[in-house]
Amino acid sequence: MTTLANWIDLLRGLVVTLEASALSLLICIAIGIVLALARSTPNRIAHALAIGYVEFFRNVPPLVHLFFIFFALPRLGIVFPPFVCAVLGLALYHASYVAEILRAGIQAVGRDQLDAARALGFSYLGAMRYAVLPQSIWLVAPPLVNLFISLFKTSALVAAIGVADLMYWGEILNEQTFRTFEVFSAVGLVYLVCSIALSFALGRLELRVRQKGLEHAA
Amino acid sequence: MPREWEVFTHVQTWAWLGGGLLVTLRVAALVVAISLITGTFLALARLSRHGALRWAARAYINIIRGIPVFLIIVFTYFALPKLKVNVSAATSVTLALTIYATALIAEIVRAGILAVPPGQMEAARSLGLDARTTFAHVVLPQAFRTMVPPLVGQYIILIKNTSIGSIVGLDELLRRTVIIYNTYQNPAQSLLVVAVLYFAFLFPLSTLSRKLELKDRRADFSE
Repeated sequence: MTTLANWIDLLRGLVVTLEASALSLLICIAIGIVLALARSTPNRIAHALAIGYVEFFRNVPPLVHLFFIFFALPRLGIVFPPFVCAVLGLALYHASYVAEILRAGIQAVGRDQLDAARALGFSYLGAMRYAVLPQSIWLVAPPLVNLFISLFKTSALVAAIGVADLMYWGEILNEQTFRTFEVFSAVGLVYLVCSIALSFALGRLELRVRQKGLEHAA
Repeated sequence: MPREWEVFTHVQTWAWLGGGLLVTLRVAALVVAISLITGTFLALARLSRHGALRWAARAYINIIRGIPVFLIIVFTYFALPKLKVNVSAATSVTLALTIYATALIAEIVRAGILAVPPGQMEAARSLGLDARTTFAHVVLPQAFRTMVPPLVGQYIILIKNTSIGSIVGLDELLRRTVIIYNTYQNPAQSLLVVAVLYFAFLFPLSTLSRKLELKDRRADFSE
């Protein structure tokens, strides 16, 4: 890492990494909530579809999902820009984990809460929204935090479909300068600092959420 | 039969993919076996009385867990030749995944050791066993029981991570699939086939891992 320009390239890559991670995070939470709700409904078809989704997506390597979206979908007439492919691939894969975490949270809150809310006249979705999900947030916060950090690290795979993220720039600089040790140490350092910062920030958030949870319970 | 599917009607295609799957499973199994040993030593260092050793083990675990496994694989692949070590892609990827898995398995082993009630160690020591024998014959076998479910989980993650090796030329399942679809121009069909193959191996394993975890939790409650 001899020049400032190289660092600027890496930081440019970092911005793409962060954008891809943040967007796929939002999308995977949204899909995860839908899946978790579908799995907890009495509707057999929704239940089976949700199980099928979760089991399929988490038992296939994320690289296969990314390759499918990037190389195979265009053949079927569906063309996305590489960045969209990256976000979609990451989101679809991690949504299966979000769904499992949320389902465990919903189960832990228990049927009684749902039944009580239903008895008070809430619809199924209303009972979930106002009674069950708010109580499960503190239960699911720690595993979700771990998942988000893992999503951030997994996002390095998007370099394999040509998205110019941090990892991608690392590979480019390695080819240009042949300074393998310096380049990849720098890339590793940037990832490390970000994961530590992320786990620190999310840890603080988790703590606050928990404290609020205790206040509610008290 | 549409043209894109035709290649999958040949036995040779399946034999070729099967060979790739074998490489995937073998690399993952090898990595688990090696990192079980290195991870145990790292866990011992992490629990050591010596501050420096404990600190070094913690640093290793936290650094490795904070960077993408893809980076470790690429780094190892380019760094080894620089160090005048010329090895195959399989060795390079095995080494990279071992560096990564050692940190994760060390945490599993540590949790396993800490889960063994201290009374077990005290009882063994008061019977006159020395520290090393106590650890090897009393603590570790009991720790192993709690370690099995997360270790199965780790094997699943490793099978998935082995697919990243295809990028640096490891001749495993995904790389062979890429070769097929580059030759026959059928990425949709080929990737669907490989997804089903991965699923066929990983789904039973993850079901097993969940069952073991539940069983383990129930065993804890009954004690």
